[in-house]
This record gives sequence, C-alpha cells and structure tokens, in this order.
Amino acid sequence: MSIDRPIAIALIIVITVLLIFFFVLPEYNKFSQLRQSLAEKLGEYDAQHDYYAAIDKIALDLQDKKAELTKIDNALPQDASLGSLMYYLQKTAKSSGLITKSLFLSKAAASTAKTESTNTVKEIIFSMDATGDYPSLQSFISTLEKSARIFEVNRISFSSSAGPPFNFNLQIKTQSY
Amino acid sequence: MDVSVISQIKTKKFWWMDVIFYFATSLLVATVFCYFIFSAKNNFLKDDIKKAEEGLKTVGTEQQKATEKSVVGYRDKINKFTELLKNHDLTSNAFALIKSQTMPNVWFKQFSLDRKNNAVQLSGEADSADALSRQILVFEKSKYIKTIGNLNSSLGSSARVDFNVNISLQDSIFTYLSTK
Repeated sequence: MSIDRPIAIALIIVITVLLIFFFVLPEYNKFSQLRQSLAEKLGEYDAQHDYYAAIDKIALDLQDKKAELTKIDNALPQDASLGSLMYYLQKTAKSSGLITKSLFLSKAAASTAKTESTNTVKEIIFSMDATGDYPSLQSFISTLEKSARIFEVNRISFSSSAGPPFNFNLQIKTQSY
Repeated sequence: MDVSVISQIKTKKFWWMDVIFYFATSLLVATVFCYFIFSAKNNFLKDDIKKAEEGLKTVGTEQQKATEKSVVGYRDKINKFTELLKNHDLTSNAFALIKSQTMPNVWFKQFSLDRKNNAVQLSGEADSADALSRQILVFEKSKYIKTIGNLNSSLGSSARVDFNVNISLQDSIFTYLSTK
C-alpha cells in the first residue's frame, strides 16, 4: 500500500502540532513549575538551615557569656517578687543607718515609655518614709545605685528644723521583665 | 490556482517531497520523544521536591524552636536592658552637686528633689543677706543649674536670713558620673 505523500505530510504535521499543543506544552509548563518549586524548596531549606545554624551559634555564644546574662537577669528579673524587693529595701535602709517608718507600693504597671518592642517592662514604684542623718541617706542611695538590680530614686524630700535626724520621703523606681 | 498543478503534485514524484516527508516524520518522532523526556523529568523533579520537603522537616525541630525562643527572648531582654541602662538616672549626682555648691555659712532645712521635672526646692538659712546673695551667685554660675526661680528671703530668728529657692537642674547632671 503506497501512501499519498502530500496527504501523509499534512497528516503528520497536524498530528505533530496537536501533540505539541495538547501533550508537550502542558508537560513543559509543568516541568517549569516543578523546577521553580524545587528551587524555592531548596532555597527555603538553605535559608532555614542557615538561620537555625546561626541561632545555635548565638545560643553557644550566650552560654559562654552566662555571667553577663546572670547580671542582666538580676538587673531585670523575670519575677517581680514584691516581697523580696520590700525586704531588700528595708535591709539596705537598715544597713545604711536609716530607720524605715513606712514602705508601700505605689505603682506596679507595664511601661512602654522607654522601650519600643512588644514585650513590656513592668515599672514598680515604692514610696518610703525613713528617718536618719544625711550620710545614711547618701549611703542608702549609693547602695541602691550600685545594686545589681536597676533602681532609680525619682523623688527625695526631707525637712528638719533642728538638725538630724531628718525625715526623708523617697520614691524609688525599679523594673521587672 | 490551476487544478492541473494539484494533479501534477499527486501524480508526479518530486525529490523535495521526500525531504519534507522525512522532516515531518522526524519532527513527529522528536515531539513524542520530548513528551517522554519531560514526563520523566517531571517525575524526577517530583521526587526531588519530596526529598526537599522531607529535608525541610528536619530543620526547625522542637528543640531548635525552643533554642530560637530562648535566643530571641534574650535578644529582647538585652535590648531593653541597654535602653534602661542608657536612661538610667543617678540621683546621687544631684546631691553631690548641691553639697559641692553650698557655702559654709548657708544651711538647708528643707530639700525636695523631683527627678521628673529636674526641680529642686530648697529652704534654709544664711548668716546674712550677703551670704545668701553669694550662694545664689554660686548656683547661677554652675553649668548643671539651668534656672533659679521663686527666690524669696526674710529676716528670721537669731538675726539670720530665711530663704526659699527653686532650682531647675540640667538633665545631664543625672547621667554625669561625679567623682565626688
């Protein structure tokens, strides 16, 4: 059986075009998509691998700097523990030579004034009335300022008409994380 | 088009007709070959993607996430600590300033320091009006004292001069590390 060449050529071209449009092109598009998807996955893997490797390195660095971190933890403790704070203030006042007449918590609230990130630093403010002489007050403030925990004396007032002992009124601020 | 030309193409044998025929046939074979090649490649790519997805599951494990949380927590805490330390005030500097600037013939009976407003209220006694004016002059000359206001004085008991004065301090005094 002889094939009519022109018709055969026309048929082959039509079949080829149909194959290209309905089979080869969709398969090629799929190939492009899969290749892109693989590149994305590999990129994501590399990025995540590098990220966690960097995190592990930082964690190791942090372990090496444990002493410094302990200082930061002491300065900005996780636990507010008002009881231990009151005890510390009373003990420091006593060792400085002041007699604490009253000590009360005037504020314990989250502060966003000085920090911008999402986690808040809690501000704790104590009001304290004490009696003693001026060097004792100086020693008390100096001890608070040198303390591992961050303390700030916001307000100080004292008065006496006939010399020491003076009546001191202090507002002491500290923070917890 | 002349009908005789079509009839000639159908009956006559042209050499280029064979060339076109074989070319078209090879094109068909190449198309089929391409289809199978892409199909096989796609299967390999699917396997590779599956492997990459499994690989992704090995990073970011619970332990790594816990380490990440701890590191990020410390980063935040260190940032906040740095910020707090930068804004940390030393009230004792204000005391040291007042102490160093007070003349020997002046006494303070009342002292009130408000860090928020950088304000100091002082009440006291001076030996004489001359001593008080010298004291005020000393305060005015200090680079850590911004303004002096509400100054009033009166002749008190035992021939001394009672006075009240409000002092506004420079912010830098609270960060300045005094040698005392």
